[in-house]
Amino acid sequence: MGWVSQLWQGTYVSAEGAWALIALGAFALLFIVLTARAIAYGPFATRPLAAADRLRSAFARATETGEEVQVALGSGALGTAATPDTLAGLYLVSYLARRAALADVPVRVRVGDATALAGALAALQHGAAATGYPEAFDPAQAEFVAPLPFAYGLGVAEAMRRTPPVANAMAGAWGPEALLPIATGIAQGTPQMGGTSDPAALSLFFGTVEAPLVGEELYAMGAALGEGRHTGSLATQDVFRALIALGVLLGAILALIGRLA
Amino acid sequence: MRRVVPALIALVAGAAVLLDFFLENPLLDALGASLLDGAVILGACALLLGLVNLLVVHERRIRRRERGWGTSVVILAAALASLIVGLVAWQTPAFAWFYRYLLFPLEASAGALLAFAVAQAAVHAWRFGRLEGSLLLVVGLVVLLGSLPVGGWLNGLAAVRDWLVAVPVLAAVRGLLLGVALGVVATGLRVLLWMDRPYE
Repeated sequence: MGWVSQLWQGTYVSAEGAWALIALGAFALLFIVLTARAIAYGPFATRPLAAADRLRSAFARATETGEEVQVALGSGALGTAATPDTLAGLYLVSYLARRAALADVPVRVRVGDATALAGALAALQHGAAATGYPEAFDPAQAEFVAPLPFAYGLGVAEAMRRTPPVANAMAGAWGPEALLPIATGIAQGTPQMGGTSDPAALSLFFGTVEAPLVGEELYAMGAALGEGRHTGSLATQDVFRALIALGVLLGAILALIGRLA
Repeated sequence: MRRVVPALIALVAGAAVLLDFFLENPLLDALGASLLDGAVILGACALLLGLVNLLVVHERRIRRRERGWGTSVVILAAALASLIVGLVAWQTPAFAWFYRYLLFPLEASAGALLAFAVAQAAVHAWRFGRLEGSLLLVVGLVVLLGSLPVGGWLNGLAAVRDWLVAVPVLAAVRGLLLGVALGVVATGLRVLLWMDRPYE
């Protein structure tokens, strides 16, 4: 055990860091327990997400018309603070890629970062290979539009004008530039769904797309699209959300009592 | 084995960077910094993939004379011009000129279009009787008018704007951010524990 004490030598943990580690550890533990329970005994019940329903119906329409479904991942990169949003968008790509290879539906993924492009290409390729149709993968299905947010927004809007998609799913790291493709979709009457974690951009989604993904709903799309394991993490989030809400309420009551006293 | 080894590497690397965030330890600091440097180098390599993708997608569009192929010609020409200027003259003012007088003004112009996009989207949502769209339109107007340096009765709108931003908007944003933070932690754990690989 000498090497452990050697490694630990010179280690400093702030009080804040220690509390954060404890909270994260508790979250991870509950997450593992509830995910294992979801795998062993079936998924937890979840409320339906309008965006998932819209995506399914748009895909069904695409199989009839042959028109493409667009997934726009925003300007986020993998390996930055935007990683969770980009991963949530990539989950949609993965879901659609598996079905698109079987149904011969064109899926067009538009990204604003090269690392997200690599992720999208991998998702599309794996999706095609997993269904037994590796030849269904076409590298041009994923397009690197532009690295700057507004140029990216304009590029996606222009692409939609050129070839109107049957549905537009915008999930990932978006800023105000999201309105540029959304406005094009509105003008075309394209069913649109999407969300992001940026509150400023989210308010724009909320008022303008048919099926917005509000707050953590962006990360719940996996569960809503039938990934039972994901319901374990949703249940963990619900437990912690309830604890936080209780803490906020208790704090507010104590502050009020303190002010009145 | 092909699945276990990458999973273990990802788990150890992720855990090291995560612990480095919370703890101050010389070994973890060095390991975390090297891993992050590696990620930055990989990200830079991915740019090459982006360039190849741009060339392939637009070359195909031009070759097939697809709708809007003229735009693809402009995009390819601009990409190649940037590449040549970047490779040949990256230490000269020409490179900075490219950014300062071409790229940034274009980006700013695109940003200026947003006001029209907001108005169009809000009016559309309002016309179709969506409550959220109507609210967006009304609140947008209040915030815009309240921000005008005109004075008079518009000063009253400035107070409404300040209240809107400080009370309902802030409360909603805090609620949203709490949910988002929990979602981010759950997504990170799913990837870290190799339970989920959305890029596959």
